[in-house]
Amino acid sequence: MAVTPAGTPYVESSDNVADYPGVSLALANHIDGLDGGKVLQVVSVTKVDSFTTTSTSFVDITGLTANITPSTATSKILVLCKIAINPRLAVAMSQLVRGATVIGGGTAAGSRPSAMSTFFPGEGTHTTDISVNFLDSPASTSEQTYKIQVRSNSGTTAVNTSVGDNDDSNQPRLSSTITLMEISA
Amino acid sequence: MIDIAFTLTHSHPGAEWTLDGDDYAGLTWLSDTPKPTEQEITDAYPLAVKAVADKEKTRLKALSDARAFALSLGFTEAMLAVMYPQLKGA
Repeated sequence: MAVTPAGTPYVESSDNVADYPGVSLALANHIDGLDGGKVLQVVSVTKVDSFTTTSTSFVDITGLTANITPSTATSKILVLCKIAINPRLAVAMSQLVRGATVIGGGTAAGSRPSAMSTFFPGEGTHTTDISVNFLDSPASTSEQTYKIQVRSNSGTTAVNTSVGDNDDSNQPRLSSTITLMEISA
Repeated sequence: MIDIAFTLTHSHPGAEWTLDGDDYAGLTWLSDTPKPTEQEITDAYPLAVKAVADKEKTRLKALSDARAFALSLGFTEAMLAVMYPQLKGA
């Protein structure tokens, strides 16, 4: 057991923790040689206006893009995103893109495309939150751009609108957020 | 306020575009066809509203006709309520 200059005791890698039953788990961050898993920085972007498309190819959701510059090449980037999506007579699909590279999608099979998440409301129109949760390893210290793209198979796919998006107090406008967390390796 | 997305789905079916926000300035036209002007969309809006209203009117008329026909065949309201609940109120 050693003590920091500030007087805080910490466990060294040579210590047998069982010998110190009074040591609190709160000291975990002071355990010698175990600095991984810390959140080094957080970037979050929230889109509050609407976006609508009829594109059958993936297109960027304007304003749902976040940039982060990893402090080390071994850092992981945890991408968390919630998208308020509102397909109308359409199958909506979303995917996560780093720079120009699609990441985290499923494996395409035959006519079944790759996507990260999807929502099909059946007949009519419904709104739901779809999520993206992906741990990326960019292996770079250059600025990384993460963005969400959507596409429709037909009809329209809207973001941040609800139901038919009529001028009605029961059909709110919504928000979508992308959050990036740099995690030390 | 003109609902651009609503209007385009009726005035330009099959066209591909994106609309960032609610204003014409946010419209990006992805199809090879000419991008409609703001005035063309404004002019098309009442036609789209009428098309939707006409479609709903046609749907309700079909339900009403079906209900009347069923009653003429001897079905009762109670029978229709169980067998064809979608005709309720038609």
